[in-house]
Amino acid sequence: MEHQQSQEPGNAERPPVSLPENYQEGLVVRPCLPSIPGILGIGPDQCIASHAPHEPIKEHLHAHFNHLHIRYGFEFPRQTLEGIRGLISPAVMMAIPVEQRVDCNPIFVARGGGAEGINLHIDGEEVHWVHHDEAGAQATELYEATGRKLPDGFYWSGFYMSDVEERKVRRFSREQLLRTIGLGLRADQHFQATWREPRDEPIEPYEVLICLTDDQTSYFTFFRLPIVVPIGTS
Amino acid sequence: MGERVPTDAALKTEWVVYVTVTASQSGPVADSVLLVAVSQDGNASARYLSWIVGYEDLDRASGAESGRWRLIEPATPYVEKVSWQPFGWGALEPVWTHARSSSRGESH
Repeated sequence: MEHQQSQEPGNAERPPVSLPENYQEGLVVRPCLPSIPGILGIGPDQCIASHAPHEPIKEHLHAHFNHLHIRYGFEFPRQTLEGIRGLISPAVMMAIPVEQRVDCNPIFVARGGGAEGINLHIDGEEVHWVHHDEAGAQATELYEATGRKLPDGFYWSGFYMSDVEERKVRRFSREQLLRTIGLGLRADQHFQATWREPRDEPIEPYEVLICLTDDQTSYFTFFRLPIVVPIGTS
Repeated sequence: MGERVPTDAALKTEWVVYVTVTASQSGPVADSVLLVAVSQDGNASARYLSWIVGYEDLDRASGAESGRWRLIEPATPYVEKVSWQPFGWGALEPVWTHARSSSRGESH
């Protein structure tokens, strides 16, 4: 693969990226803009939104604190998943300041009543995300393998897909994933960052680096979630 | 629902309390978990141990301080007047509900 020199400051000597032979055998997931406005009161063009404490909203984790909404979309395109032989758990990791924690809502596949979302189920069971240090370490390794380093004061907070109680990592077989993805699965994801030790201080919005991958295959993708959606984005 | 053995000699004990109802707008929210530090003179101050539904913060805190946490089952009602500290926990010994940043293998 031919290496493109980056113009980003601090990455001038980025080494070439070599992809493993089985790269295409992974669970392919692609980021995209969110498409379900109104969940948790977030408007259609908002991916990053800093809020002061406000009235409770059902499913909102940090309404009573200063918090930063982090919202994006993703798609599992139709795929054969021929490379999936064991059980795998999708993973998501995001780079946030060390003074903050980030917590997640379930995967929303549609708008429910009011500001609620309708959650993804796999084999009849609602799926959530659970914090996992290994996921954070995985993102650190994958990101640094591209020659990049996070800015000072940031770390990767990682999650694996979990049961509804957010206590146990859930892993899925190829057949389960095929049934779930079908002709393609499109969903919105909401996370909320807040101060690790609550402060009476607003959170300055920042661009969020996000990694989508899983705990077994070699597929991964990074993207940068902008504070403001660029004009012309579709 | 639990107890933490304090290392600060000024503290008599620390209770882990699950909040069942939101009593006031500025107070702790329902379904949150508090750490109530009771001093030797009987005064108590409380702050969040976890403010979202779920046990992950408790698991992490007890895992980080093995042997200092005790589950109380069945849970017993707890109604006391305490000093509420939603921000600025400096008066209480910190409880690391997430791993310290230096132990994450992070890149900074």
